[in-house]
Amino acid sequence: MKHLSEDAAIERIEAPERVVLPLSQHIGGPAKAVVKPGDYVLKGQVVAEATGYVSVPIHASVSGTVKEIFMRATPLGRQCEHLVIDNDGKDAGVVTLGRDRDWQGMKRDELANLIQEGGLVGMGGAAFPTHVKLTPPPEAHIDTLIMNGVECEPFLTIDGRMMLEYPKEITEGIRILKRALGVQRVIVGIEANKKQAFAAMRAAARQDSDISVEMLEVKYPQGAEKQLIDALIKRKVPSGKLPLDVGVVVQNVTTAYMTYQAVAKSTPLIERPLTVTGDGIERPTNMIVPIGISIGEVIVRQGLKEETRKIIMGGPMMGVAVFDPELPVVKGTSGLLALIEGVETMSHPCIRCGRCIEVCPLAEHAVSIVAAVKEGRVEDYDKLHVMDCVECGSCAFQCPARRPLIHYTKLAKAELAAWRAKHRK
Amino acid sequence: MLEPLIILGALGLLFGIGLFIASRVFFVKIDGRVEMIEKVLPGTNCGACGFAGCTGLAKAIVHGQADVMGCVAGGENVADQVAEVMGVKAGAVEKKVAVLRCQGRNVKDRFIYEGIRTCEAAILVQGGPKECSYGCIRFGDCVAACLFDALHMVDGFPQVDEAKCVSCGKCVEACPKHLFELLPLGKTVHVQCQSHAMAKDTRKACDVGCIGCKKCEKICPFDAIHVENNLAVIDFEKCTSCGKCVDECPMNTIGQFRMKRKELGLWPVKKKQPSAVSDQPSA
Repeated sequence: MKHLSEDAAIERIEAPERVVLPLSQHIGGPAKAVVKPGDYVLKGQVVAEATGYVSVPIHASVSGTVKEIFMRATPLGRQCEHLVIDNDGKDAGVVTLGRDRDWQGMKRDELANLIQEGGLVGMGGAAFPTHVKLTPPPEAHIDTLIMNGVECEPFLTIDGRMMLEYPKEITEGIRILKRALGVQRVIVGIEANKKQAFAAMRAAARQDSDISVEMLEVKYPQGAEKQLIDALIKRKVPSGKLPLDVGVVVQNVTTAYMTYQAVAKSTPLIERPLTVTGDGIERPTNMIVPIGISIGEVIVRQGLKEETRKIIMGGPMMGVAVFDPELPVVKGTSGLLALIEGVETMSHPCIRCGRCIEVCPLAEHAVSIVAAVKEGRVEDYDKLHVMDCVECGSCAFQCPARRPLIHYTKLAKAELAAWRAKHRK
Repeated sequence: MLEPLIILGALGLLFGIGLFIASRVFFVKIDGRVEMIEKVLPGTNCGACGFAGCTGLAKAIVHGQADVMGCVAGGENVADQVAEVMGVKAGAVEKKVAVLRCQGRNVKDRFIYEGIRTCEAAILVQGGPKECSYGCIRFGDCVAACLFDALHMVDGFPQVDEAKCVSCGKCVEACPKHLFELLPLGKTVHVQCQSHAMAKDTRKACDVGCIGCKKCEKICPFDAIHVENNLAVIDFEKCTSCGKCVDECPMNTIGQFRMKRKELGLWPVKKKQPSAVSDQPSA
């Protein structure tokens, strides 16, 4: 699937006439608007500030006038404020935008602060604020930083292209992350289907004795944190624990590029590299787009075929289907897919083949989770490790009866959260 | 031949004596009233009283931890019978009924929903497939939750059978959009919409949604209806169910339930003399 766009060089797209910036683009507290309709903003200016530790600010991706602020649901169903900026076409940036900054002598917390101020979140798709991962609690003994260049989702090629085209910047970003985290060892994991990117990264990190670039087997979900840690350094993250409990922090390679931009180039996260692909797209490609551009605009630019049946934000396995072309590209949008084929949805009864259990990277029993959900046995969800599921989609993909297994798991998670909240009080 | 008979007889006698002693030693004193109350309770274990099923409530009543009118589902009739068992007088129970605060039958879908066909699952997918993000999803979680056969899908939209509804509150809990409210039977005027969306969005999505025009607010002689956050809300303390707002509402959002309840024989609500308010039995 990657062949569609893996050879397409990263393009830049002209800034749109209008950008829409949801104030909740990351996991954690939504940002709070600090501008009001009618205000003039410069490119790179903070338009919404972080509302706590697990939160990041949001910056204007174009210069222009704030038109309005309105409430709408994000593709994940969360209601939040959206800020609309009309582009004046002047591309006027804040004074510091793009200015070189010497970070070598900076302390750890200074770097973490710069990274938070830059609005950085994980670029792999989950959009977890980067600085939070860089400031682990003191009792955690972090010794390894793992850079995730796996990009195991089918179709997506942007991380691979970024490593191929910007290996120096990414490596510099890795050095910054390494310093901010205060570790001695960095391992970059890249899947074997990206040989050129692997070679480029190896070459760029040649002088750094403490950065090793490793090649990994191609398999899904190799890029899931826990699987990646196991594959690279043979440590197993226990159920309910985080990578930092085994002394590891995982960051995406494109996040390293953005870290370089935010710290060394004083450019906050206002652009997003992504892959536009799928059999419904005339010219599949990789591009860097301003955050807040509508997905319709991006897709139409690359040619949308009429037969397209589904548009997905993110990868085909874990992405979210979207129905509204007006929705903006956000910090977590790693790809836009238009699909014609393979959209089979008719669901049949379980045939008890057990493939969902076989393919699960955590050996979870999806079939038992579905049974528990259907019978409303909320108290059993914990035993079935519902909360450990990363929703990689392998089970649903394999299911010959095409049952919506991930949907059931998501439902179980929601029910369990509600049940816990009810029983705590 | 005689041997087995003797052995078995002896064993039987031994166990018999054992059981007799055990029943004396481990004797649990049961208040007969628990059983009597349990008999008059509906027995559906709906849990609306807040206790673990009907047995739980019966025990609680006998032990003075619950009121004789504790059974929500049973209403006045059951309260009277329970009071009789306890030897007190029940006060007047205000009969309530579940009111569905949405009537958006014609709300279109925003996208083709292919997931699990329950409301609870549907809201996980971008808030549900309906154009109105506040309204009914029509997969019938409420119907499935109702233990009293009082909720049915009529032309694909849930409808409360007010004659059967005992206001246990199961539907209130089941609806992920929180569209049900338990309201006194005597109050017959209701705003059948829960949308806080802007007027133009509501109008686009639904032909019977509240657009917050405030016409009802102006016509109401009792100052009982107000538009808050784009939605008309009735203050039932003040509302007399006169129905002036019903006639005024341009979207037909506000409904008069009086005729329907009259036909079912539920209206006017027979008021019992709120005579001696139940003397609580001492625990």
